[in-house]
Amino acid sequence: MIQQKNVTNTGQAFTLEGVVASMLLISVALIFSLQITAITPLSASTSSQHIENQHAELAQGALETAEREELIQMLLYWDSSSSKFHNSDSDGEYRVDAPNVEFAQEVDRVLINQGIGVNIDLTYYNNRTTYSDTTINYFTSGEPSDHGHTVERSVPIYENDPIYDSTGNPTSQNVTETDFYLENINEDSELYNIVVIKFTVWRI
Amino acid sequence: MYSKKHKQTAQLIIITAFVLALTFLLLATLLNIVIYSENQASRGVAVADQAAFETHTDVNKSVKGLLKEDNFNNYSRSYDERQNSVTRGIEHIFNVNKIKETKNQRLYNGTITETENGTRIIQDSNRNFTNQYGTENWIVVDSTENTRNMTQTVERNSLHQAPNKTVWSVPGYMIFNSMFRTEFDTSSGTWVVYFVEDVSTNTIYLRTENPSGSFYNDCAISSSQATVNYSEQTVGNQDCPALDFVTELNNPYQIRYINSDEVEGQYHIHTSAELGSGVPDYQYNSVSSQDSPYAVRSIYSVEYKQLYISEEVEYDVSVYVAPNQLENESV
Repeated sequence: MIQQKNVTNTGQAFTLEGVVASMLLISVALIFSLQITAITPLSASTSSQHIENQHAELAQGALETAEREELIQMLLYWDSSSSKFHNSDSDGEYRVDAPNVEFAQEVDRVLINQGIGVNIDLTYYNNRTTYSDTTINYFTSGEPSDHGHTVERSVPIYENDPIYDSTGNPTSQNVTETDFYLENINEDSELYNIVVIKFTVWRI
Repeated sequence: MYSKKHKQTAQLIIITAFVLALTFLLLATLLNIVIYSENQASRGVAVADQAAFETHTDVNKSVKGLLKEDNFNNYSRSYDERQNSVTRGIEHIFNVNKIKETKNQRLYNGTITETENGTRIIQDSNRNFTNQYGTENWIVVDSTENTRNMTQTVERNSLHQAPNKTVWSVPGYMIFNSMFRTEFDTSSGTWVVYFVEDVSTNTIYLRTENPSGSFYNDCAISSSQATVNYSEQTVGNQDCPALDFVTELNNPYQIRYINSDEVEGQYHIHTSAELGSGVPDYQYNSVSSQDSPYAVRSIYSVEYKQLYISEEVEYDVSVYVAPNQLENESV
């Protein structure tokens, strides 16, 4: 009887040892994986795709529902005297304050103030035959996180579209009468240029 | 030191530990797969469809805008010049989208399959609706398949006056012969739209007579002027069932103004008939003078094919663009 009790105790000890050993192994494996990839709350993972989905819908909704007039106002908000966008930084980019145009103000109010980071980049075309392009940063909140999402919308600029003053109102000058960042790459038609707006959102 | 039995037990424990560890890892992986699959199921196709739809919408909006810009500028352009201008512009839109999609590892290709010439007929200053010579009964459009953006803004005081609407509503009543009316003459008969002012209520009434001589209900607006939008079937921005017939017109049809000295106001018609053939150019003032009424050569519509291929979606579609033309409408 005494021998039988000893055997049972030994069995329990072995089982416990086994469980502890497995936990040890898992812990080592976990520490190892954590060390080789820097996982933060903003890192992309299989479980963060819902956040990506939300961002995709958010970005899409913001850009798609914007009227062309609102986007034109943003793209042609040009200060001819300083050859950059009105009240932008010395390099022509907006960083802290959104420009005084309807779309950017709406983005500032609805997204940035709610802790959503926003970058707006503009791509336009320089040459009618090679279609070489240039991309500029228009508005920058920072570096997007892994589950940020970018949507694009191409906006045609026509020859009769006006340049906008610092208050956001159209001036009497249209794009053909102003020297600014866009060139007329389609002189045979009313089309002046096409700007692709790249709109990136992510959770800060 | 240790007995053979103890060594075997130790080995057993290590193996058990490995089995347990693997089991936990397997469970974790399975859980991860479930989460991943669920995410993919709720995401994949929608995102791919969305990208295709975005491109489709972008191109469509750009072509519509270009068509509008071209038609509303450079009035002196010939049809060839307009065709050339619109074609170049649309090809540029296609090329830019092709480059944009290529950068996103997708294929896009657009091809214009047809451009249709048309005419914009304009009276943009207030006067009666007679032709350039003052003729009261005249053919506005001789023969057309489609018309869009057809509007008439009429001044109430200029219309023929009736004592009250119950009198003028009687078919065959003599004042009908004096009223301003717009006629749509088709192969199966003529639709007539009458305009009158009810002096007892200061109301503009509009009434439609079908080819068999029956009347629809009135559309009325108590205002000093009313804009009749045939394309949207509204009077003063309110639905007007009396204009529903515009979706039933047989092609081709003729548009006429009768008693056009019994009305004053402005109008605009965009028709798919060419100036000089379907639209009689002698009825209008020269486009250079822009004295009302005048007619401008235009591009009525554009049809193009577009192909969009991504890893998930293949989208091949033919698109018809005639800005502001409603679905299934003739006017």
